Amino acid sequence: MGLYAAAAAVLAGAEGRQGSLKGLVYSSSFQNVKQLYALVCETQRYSAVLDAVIANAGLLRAEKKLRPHLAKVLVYELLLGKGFRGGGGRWKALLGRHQARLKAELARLKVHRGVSRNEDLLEERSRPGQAYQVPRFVRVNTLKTCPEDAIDYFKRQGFSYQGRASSLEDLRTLKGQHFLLDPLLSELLVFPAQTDLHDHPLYRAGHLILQDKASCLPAMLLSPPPGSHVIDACAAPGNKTSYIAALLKNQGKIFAFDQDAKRLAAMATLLARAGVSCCELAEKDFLTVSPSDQRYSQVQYILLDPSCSGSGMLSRQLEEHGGGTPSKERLQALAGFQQRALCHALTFPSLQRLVYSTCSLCQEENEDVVQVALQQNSGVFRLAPVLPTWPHRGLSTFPGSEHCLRASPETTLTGGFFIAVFERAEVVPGPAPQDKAVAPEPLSKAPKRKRRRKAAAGASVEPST
Amino acid sequence: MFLSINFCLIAITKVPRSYFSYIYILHSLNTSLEWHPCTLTWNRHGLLVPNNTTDQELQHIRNSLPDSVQIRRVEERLSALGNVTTCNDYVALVHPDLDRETEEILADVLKVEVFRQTVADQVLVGSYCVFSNQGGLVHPKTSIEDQDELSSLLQVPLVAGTVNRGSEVIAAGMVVNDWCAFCGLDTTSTELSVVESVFKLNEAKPSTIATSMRDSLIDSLT
Repeated sequence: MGLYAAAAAVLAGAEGRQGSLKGLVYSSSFQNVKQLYALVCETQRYSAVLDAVIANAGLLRAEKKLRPHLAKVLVYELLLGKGFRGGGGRWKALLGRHQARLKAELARLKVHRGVSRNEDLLEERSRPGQAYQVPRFVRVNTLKTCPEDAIDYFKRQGFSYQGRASSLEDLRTLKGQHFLLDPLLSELLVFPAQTDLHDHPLYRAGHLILQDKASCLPAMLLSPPPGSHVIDACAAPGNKTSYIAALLKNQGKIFAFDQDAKRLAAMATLLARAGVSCCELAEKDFLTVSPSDQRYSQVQYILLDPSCSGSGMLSRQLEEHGGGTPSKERLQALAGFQQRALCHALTFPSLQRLVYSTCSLCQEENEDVVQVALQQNSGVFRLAPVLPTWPHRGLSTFPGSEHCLRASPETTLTGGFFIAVFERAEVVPGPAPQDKAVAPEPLSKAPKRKRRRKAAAGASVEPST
Repeated sequence: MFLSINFCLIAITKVPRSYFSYIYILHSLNTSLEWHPCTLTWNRHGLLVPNNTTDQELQHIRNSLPDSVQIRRVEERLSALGNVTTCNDYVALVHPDLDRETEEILADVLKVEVFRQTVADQVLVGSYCVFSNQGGLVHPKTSIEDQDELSSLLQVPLVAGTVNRGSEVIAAGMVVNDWCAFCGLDTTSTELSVVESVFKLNEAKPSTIATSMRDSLIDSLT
């Protein structure tokens, strides 16, 4: 298939929601994947501009046999891309007939908008500036190796290790062959933006996981101790699950659920590569998992990262038509599912700690869902104040929402994210969370627990004396 | 008569030859040749003639003009090309209903960017708008917004004005190139000064007061 026909097919598939751009590009039969992906992404970026130019020039009315997506690709290549290469006799003649008109319409559009460069025609949201400035985070898989070995390997490859970062500013100014250790997570390495490591031998061997920092936070905040039982609802593709397994040191059990068989298969491969042995996968809807089932009677930790609109995901921002704000109906449907899942998760009998996270920036999927769950479980569960030094907090829509965490490329140099940590409010002696963070918060909590334990012990001892 | 940077076409009239120098002059042979400026469109790169041009006329033009000027006959329903199109060496304005092929030929032969546009809601842009590489004169009823938009499209300063004592059919009353302009006899001095300033035809710079204009400005006092 020619390049332009393949690109048109991918765009048509993306519009019909048959998959993401990346997935469609890889599944198309065109050889040069990079070229196709670049063409498709750029055409999508300029989509609104191209639509306007094609409509004004009346291209589709004049050429009845030309399909809209193919027209967009060809016009992009002619006007905004590197120039039309002879893709085929048909298209060349066709474009030759309309070249002058299309160029004139583009010039006219620029005059109307008062811009002189093509890039200025884009809306603010479509600028890829943010995605390019977020550093590349790499998590060291502690099931297979340790951070020091990974750092040594990179040093031998020629990267220059700058030590542990002391603040976000160090991450912002990272460039070239330097890399740092993240200030918050001691097994997260930080490389400059656009570092390509997917062919790296350590990654292929499963020693490294390419995971954004915000995506590591839920597992880190859940911090299940080794030997505990954890549920990971909506687990695919499995990066958070593998992190939980690393924290558990493969001792204990993780029950992972997901509805999509293909994604579950991909997750199985990923977990096998990462050396995870304590995970049980099940292709089920989490809402059908019964809390009274014997198997889950010891589950004390749940990680809930439900399907969301993905409006915070960096790759989505590049791909979505005209920027990432989903429609109201879609948001409401997603929020409904998220509320049901969260309330269902809070009904598990032995649950101590639950982390709810989404990669979305929409309040309907984040603070509103948490608020509803808290109202339905008030007195039983409460929001735990976590990471007081984290700069970006939840939107203040209800009292206590400042305990939630948000992440965004501008404030925290990560993808968009939202995290809320629920804790059982009743007094139950349990192990203090093993926070590897520098935050002083666990220290202040521990004495309280000791006092409670002493009080409980005192209370139980008293009757015997 | 029509005028371009490198060639000029006039009918045999009483115009003395001395008015024109350094450009090719082509006299039309006899009155059966029905060229009028309103049927042709041209710039320094090329010349387009309508479909009713005879082969003899076409041959005559080809022989007389330099090789750098491409000549093409255009099959077009709106055959008065000079009335429906107007151009300088970089941009052309055309009637909104012009055929696509003609537009492409314009872009190819004259090497211009072609815009479909109306001027003061008049579709005959060739009659109501005249512009050169330095500036342009448009129909007096063109609104300010249209003038601004046209000016951005054409990349030259524009002014709304008249020629021949208030005639709004500007192209019928004047011809212009980068260095000189010819206006009809009835043109008032105000209109002439407007034409001079927008097409940047006067060579007046502040320094000329001290040089060439000095003698005429300062009488000897001694």
